[in-house]
Amino acid sequence: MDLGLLGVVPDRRSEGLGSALLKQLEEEAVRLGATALAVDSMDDSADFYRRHGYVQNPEMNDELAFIKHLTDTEGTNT
Amino acid sequence: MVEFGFYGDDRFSGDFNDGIRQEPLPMDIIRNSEADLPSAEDGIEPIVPGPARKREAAEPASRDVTAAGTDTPALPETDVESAQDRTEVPTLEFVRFNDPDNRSHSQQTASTLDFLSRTVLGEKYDMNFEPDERVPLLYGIIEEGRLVAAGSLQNDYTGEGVYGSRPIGRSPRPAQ
Repeated sequence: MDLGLLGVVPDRRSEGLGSALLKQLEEEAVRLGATALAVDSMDDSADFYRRHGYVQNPEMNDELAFIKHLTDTEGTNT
Repeated sequence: MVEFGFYGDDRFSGDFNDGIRQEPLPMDIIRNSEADLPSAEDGIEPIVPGPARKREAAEPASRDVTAAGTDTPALPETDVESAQDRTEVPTLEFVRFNDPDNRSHSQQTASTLDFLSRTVLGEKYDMNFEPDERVPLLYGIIEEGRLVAAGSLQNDYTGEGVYGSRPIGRSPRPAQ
């Protein structure tokens, strides 16, 4: 499953909303049967995904293509 | 009537019950639970549980947006101080905006996609979908009636056109 666009309004950034939403989306993806979540990040958001456990997708020849195996995440393995 | 404060455009006004928000998700609602919130270890300023930030009335909409999750500047010290002064509990709710089993695309769904495209890509894109076209699952965080964050899930990774085990749209992509 892919994580599509993810955005936070400018005046509420740096307050953890993006992280909170990402966590909820990961849990939702697991609930929908996904075992991994892939995302094509942008230059300025790559660190955000790295901090949340995303690694470069080995199936993609793109350093900004990340993937996270959700079943490896504590608490999200169903 | 609830207005999306960030749009500043009448066509984005509407009640969330008009169709943009389906029933609440059967999952934990983000409501000031410390366990659900990111920590400072994330390198991101955590949401401060407890009293809500006092807001100025009717903040003007801003279209100057950049990608979510970016290394945005640290919260100014004044904001940190104001956060400590919060006196009301903020109401944050995680919601799903559309139903994978119902592919009717309301204006609200389109406006949410539009919000996402502008927030992440920094400019407005025309996000029109055909009636039979697959649309990502749209989620958001609502604070006091305002959409403050949104994201989407889709299954382009496999191209099978399913979310979980449920078929949701067009036929699988042709082989590359």
